[in-house]
Order: sequence, then C-alpha cells, then structure tokens
Amino acid sequence: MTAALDLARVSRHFGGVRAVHDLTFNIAEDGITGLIGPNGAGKTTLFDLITGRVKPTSGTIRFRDIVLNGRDPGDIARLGLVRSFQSPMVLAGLTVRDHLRQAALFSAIGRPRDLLRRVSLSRARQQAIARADQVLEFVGLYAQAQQQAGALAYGLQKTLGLAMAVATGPRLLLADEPAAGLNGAETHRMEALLRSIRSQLGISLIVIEHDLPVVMRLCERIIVLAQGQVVADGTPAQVRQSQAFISAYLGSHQDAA
Amino acid sequence: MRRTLIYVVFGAVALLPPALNDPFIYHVGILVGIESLLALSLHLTLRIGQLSLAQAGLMGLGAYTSALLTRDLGVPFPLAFVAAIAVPAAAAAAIGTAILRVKGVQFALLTFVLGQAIVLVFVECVVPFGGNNGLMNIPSATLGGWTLGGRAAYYGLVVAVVLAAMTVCRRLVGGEPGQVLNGLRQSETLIQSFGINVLSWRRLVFVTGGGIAGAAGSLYAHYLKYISPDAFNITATINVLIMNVIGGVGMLFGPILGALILVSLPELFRSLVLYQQLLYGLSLLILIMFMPRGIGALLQRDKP
Repeated sequence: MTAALDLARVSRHFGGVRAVHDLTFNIAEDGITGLIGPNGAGKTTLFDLITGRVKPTSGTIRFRDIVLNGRDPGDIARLGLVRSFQSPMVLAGLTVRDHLRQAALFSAIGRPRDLLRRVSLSRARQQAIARADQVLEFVGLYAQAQQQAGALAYGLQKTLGLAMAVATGPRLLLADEPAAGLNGAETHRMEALLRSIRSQLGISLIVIEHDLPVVMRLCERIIVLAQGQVVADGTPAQVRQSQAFISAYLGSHQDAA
Repeated sequence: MRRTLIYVVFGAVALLPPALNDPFIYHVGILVGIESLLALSLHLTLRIGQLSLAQAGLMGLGAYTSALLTRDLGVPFPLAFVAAIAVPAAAAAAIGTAILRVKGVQFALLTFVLGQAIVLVFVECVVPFGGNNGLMNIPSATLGGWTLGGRAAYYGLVVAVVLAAMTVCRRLVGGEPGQVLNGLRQSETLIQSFGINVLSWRRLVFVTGGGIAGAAGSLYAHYLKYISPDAFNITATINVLIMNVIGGVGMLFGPILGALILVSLPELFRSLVLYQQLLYGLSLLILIMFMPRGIGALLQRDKP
C-alpha cells in the first residue's frame, strides 16, 4: 500500500535554529499515529510544514503522491489533509452550526471562480447543511448547535475544533494537542471521539499530544521527535522501551557512569 | 426592515439634486458620488481587515486611461470607461499576487508605495501623462449619440455607476462570498483549514476595489475635464479612509454616508472661510471620539 503522507529529508531552519531537521518518514493511510516529544521538539512546526503554512527549507512532502511543496494551505486542505488547532479558533457572531456548515461548504468555494459552477455549488450547499447536522450528532454538540461558538466552554470549543476539521471531509486529520487543557472526564471523551473518527468515519489521524497515557492507548504507532529529528518510531510498546524516548522525556543517565 | 429604510433614505437623498435643480447642489452631488466610489473601493479592503493606501493611485490609473483614450485616440466614452475599470483592476491583479502575501501594517505600507509610485509615473512620464501639468481638454462623456455635458445628465450617470458598484459590492460582502470575507478578516488560518485559498479571495477583493476606484477616476476626469497627478496622491486615499471611519466600517452604506458628510461638510462652513479647516477638523475629532463605530452604527442593530 502506498503511503498517504511521505516526508523525504524535510528541514525547516529558522535562522540558526533547526526546528525540523532532515526528517524522513511516511504514514500509511489507516490508523492513528501519535507525534510526541518535549516542548520545542518541532511537532507543531511539522504540522505547519505539512499543511503548507510554513515552507520547508529543503526536502519534499508528498500526500497521496502529490508534492505539497509550494502549494497554498487552502489548496492542501482541499486535497483532504486538514488540521485542527491547539488553541480553539472560532469566528465571532457565528453559531456552532454555522461553523460546521462553513467548514463543510468552503472546500466547494476554495477559489472565487468556483462560484461560477452553479450546479455543483448548489449541490455542495445542500450537502454542507446535511453534513453539519451529521457532525453535530457525531461529536455530541447537537444541544449547542444554535449557540454562539465563542460562548462555548473551553472543552466544547476544542471539540468544535475537531468537529470542523471532520466536517471538511478529510482523508488525514492532523490534530494538534486535542486534549490539552481538558479535565479528566473531557480527556476521556476526546479520546473516544478521536477513536471513533478513525473507526466510524475512516479518517486517518496524526495526533500531537502531551498526555502520554492517552497517546499510548490511542495510537498504533508513535513517532518521537526531539530537536527536530525522529529519535524513536514504532508501536507504543517499542517506543516505551527505547532509550531515546526515555532520555527525551526523563533526561539521560549516561553522564553518571 | 432597516435595510429598506436605509434604501429609502438614500434614494431620497439621491433625488435631492434633481428636486432642487440647483447647479451647485448637482456639483456637490456629483462629487459625493465620485468620492463614494473611491470610499467604497477602500471599504472592500477594510472588510477583509486590510488597509489599502493605493486606492487613489488606482483611481488615477482609471482617470488617465479614460482621458487619454477619449482625448488622444478618439475612443468612445463607454469603451474608455470600461478600460478605465479594466486597467486598474488588471494592475491590482498583477501586483496583488506579490503584495497580498503580506498583511497588516506591511500591506498598508506596500500599498502606500504602490499608490505613490503610480502618481510618480504620471509626474515623470510627461509623454503621455503630461507631467505635473496633467491633462487638459478631456472630452465630455458621451453615451451613444448623447453628450452628457450638463450637470443633471452627468449626475444621472454618476448615480447609475454608484448603484452598479453597490450591487457588485453587495454580492461580494453578502451571501457565501461574504462569509469567506468575514473569515478572511477574523481568522485566515481557520478558513484556510476549511480549504479556502486565501490569496485568490484577497486578490478578488483587491481587484474589485481597483475596478471601482478606476470607475471613480473616469467619472472624475470627464467631469472636471482636467486631471493632474496631485489629485491622486495619498491625501485623497486618507480622505476616503476618514469617510469610512466616519460612516462606519461594518456596513456598505457607511462609506457612502461618510462621503456625503465629508464632501458637504466643508461647504457648510464656506461662509466662515477663515475657520473652515478648524471647524472641519473639530467636527471630525468629535465624530471619531463619540462615535468610534461611525454614524452608520446608529442605524445598526447592536451586535456583540
């Protein structure tokens, strides 16, 4: 099976800082992959690179054999590669349902000239309304559908963030710390939601997460980043055993010897 | 319906000059219409949270295009008018690809440079732009066999163009395009993740604004019959920026209201010519201090 996402020797340097350095890995089109590492390891920069918000200094990024380098972030999203954000983003004055409807519709009007395709646009309009309702139901935000998104509690805004990404109909969803700032119960619900996005909707996920127990339970594969490089890559059991993982998180003991 | 009320009020104001049938009122009406167009073109960029300081320069591009085509090449006015829209729109499209990548203060500065560069071209290239002396003897606007030489007829043309521009703008800021524009203003990052190609939408807004500014330029040139570079420098842009602030940035009739007030305000103080600038400045200060969202906000429902 071909890789969904393929990174070949990708680097991003900010001045002298190697945020991401010479990264090579690929991710198959199924499953949930965890991306972990200490603060400053380059996880979010990696998401920014994949989604086109940041241009790589060198290297090639492919999604389903399409080279993403130099593509507009919106165009990349329309290929089915969509991210959710660490801090909730909402539009003032719009309800929860509005957000999901726009998330579902905007891929049909990615460029102004798409407005001229009246037939496919009116179909997209209908689909967006239906899709918004489906996603509301799926993520459990139906009761809040008519509320202003800005007035939602933090945990529900995080859910909405993920819901918007789902509503765009992605193939691969990059979730940036979906459980950050959530309490115990909310974290459990988020974990269940991520799992059902994978199992019921068939959307592959790459999840950045600091809550290691969540990552270990959720992911079939875990990639550990440190200082912009992959230091461990494997199943949760393999990664847990690896020296690189231990030293990345707990510090090295070798100095003592 | 508030919107209906607004249209009725504006319709009534637009009918004032023919009702009074006074040449001076017609003159003010024509200037208000032309300034409204330029204010509207700036308004579009404000709608996506960007300040373009190039609008007067783009207006100049329209004015010179229209003037040169009709005067030197004998092109009929309707065709020259279309060209006066197309040339600045094309310039905005070409330059926009480069400068629309930046935002905020940097965008304002780049567009400032762009506007001044356009004016500089008019000054430096004496052939065909006439240098600092500008262009004289610009022919009257014609429509088929008619010559729109009189003020009444010209006023009718200006009102028609403003209405057309309003219709275009309403399509752009309403409905689904309006939702995209709202997203551009509030969170480009979020709507990018929805699949919006931000650059192409910003370009559409910039190009539409350029076209409307060009229309204003053409109407200006064929009304005054004389244009010079200094009419299109930064002062003219700042003026329409003030109109937007006064009228209200959140609504389409805001810039028109602003133009109405700002063009006619100096005329009200004309008898006090010694204090005209002072009173004008004080009025602006009071308006901005006490109505930060513009006068148009009074007519709008309260929004959070």
